[in-house]
Amino acid sequence: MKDSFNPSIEPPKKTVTLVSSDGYDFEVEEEVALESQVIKDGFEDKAVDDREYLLFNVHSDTLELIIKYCEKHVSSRKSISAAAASSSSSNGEEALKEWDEHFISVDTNTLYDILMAADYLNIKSLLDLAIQKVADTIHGRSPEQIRKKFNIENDSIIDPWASE
Amino acid sequence: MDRFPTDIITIILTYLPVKSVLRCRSVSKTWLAIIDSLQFPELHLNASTRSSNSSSFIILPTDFNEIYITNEDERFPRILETTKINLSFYQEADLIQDPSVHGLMFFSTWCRSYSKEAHNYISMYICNPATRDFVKLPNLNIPECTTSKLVSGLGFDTVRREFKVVQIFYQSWDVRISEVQVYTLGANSWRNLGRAPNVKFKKHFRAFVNGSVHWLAEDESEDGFRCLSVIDNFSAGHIEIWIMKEYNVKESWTRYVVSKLDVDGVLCETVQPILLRKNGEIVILYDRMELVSYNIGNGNFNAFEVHGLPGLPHETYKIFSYVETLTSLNAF
Repeated sequence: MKDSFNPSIEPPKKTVTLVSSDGYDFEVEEEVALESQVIKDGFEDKAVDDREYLLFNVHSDTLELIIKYCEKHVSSRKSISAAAASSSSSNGEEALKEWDEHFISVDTNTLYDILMAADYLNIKSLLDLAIQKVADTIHGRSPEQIRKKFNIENDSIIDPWASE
Repeated sequence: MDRFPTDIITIILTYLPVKSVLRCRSVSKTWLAIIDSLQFPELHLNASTRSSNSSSFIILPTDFNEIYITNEDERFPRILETTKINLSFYQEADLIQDPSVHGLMFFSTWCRSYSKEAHNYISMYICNPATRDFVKLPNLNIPECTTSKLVSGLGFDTVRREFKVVQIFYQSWDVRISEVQVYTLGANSWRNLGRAPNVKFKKHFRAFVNGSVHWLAEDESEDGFRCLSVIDNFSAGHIEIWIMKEYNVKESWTRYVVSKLDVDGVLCETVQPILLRKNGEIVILYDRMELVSYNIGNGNFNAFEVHGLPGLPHETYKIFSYVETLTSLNAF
């Protein structure tokens, strides 16, 4: 039978399985998983029925957050381009920026986990967001406050007042 | 954060402004080693030129022998808070004529013309105002033409990755008599490079672009101009600014028309373009007093409110664009 294009019927979504370091399975849509450059790079080489990725460095708590981030970005991109195509006004980008800001406002340990996971999975926009957040936290703080905030041992050999 | 690998800490530190980075040197030994490494200043410069949309300026009030730096704050786009910079050599060499090159500025003693007497009192410095790091340059070689005009400029040689200062001695009544000397940062003397091209240099019009210092010059042999932006303000209601958008492409000269600025009923007649911003606006200094950001597309402009400068009524200023960097003079 000849395939016919019918926009009202959506094809079944293809999914892949992500396995966290503590052994939990997360089934996510293909396009969401492809937000990770690392998954994207190896994607074509994998058999269709073997799309399972063992993420040894990402704990389930963090993976849940990462998936939430990727899902949001995939869906926002779609609605932004849809709005642009119908030339209707949209504050999609502004809203997404606000969502990002809220998403990354987490405690220091979670921020650390997100940053390391974004680096490991190579999700550029999330890595930028997390790094910017850490930089904002450092900016305007004294060396002592920075050490306390990030639990850094004080082995400094510099007089903190010398450079001021 | 001790858990972060060094390469991640490095990236985080490149996201910070210079002042914060310098403060972070005393956080730990690891952070100090990253910041003081030879590669870090360039990584930081690349990250800040990529991300930042805001501009910095050096401001020199005419009646005060002082130097101010201001960084535009994206949250308060029309307000410039200034910080006074104390440089120990500034009383000796207070002449600045160029925007910064990778964050470095060239300072020299003002002198009307070069002579044997002037030779001994001309001091020259290269300085990074953000880190207060500076070096005094060695004395010039005594040129063959004993009295002459001087033009100079700092540049960065992108091929050899060296900072250089060019000094041109020339006689205004005979362009065939000239001499060029070059100083490379890190060297201990000037090198003679022979004669300059047969052109009449316009001392105060120059720019550092694409690895070379450019001067506006009347070319005696070709009867034309070679330069990057020219201003014509002889027309009645407006001022024309010509900018060469594509480097060394004659056809890319683009004409911009800006109106004269009405400040409390007084028409500002002279303009000095300070920089072309990423958003397409030109920052212009009107009558050496009013700093505005001018949108060429729709003709709208916004005046900057500059805070913290010493104020005489009708004080005038010299303003240059500036990029705050960690460029270290000891690395050369």
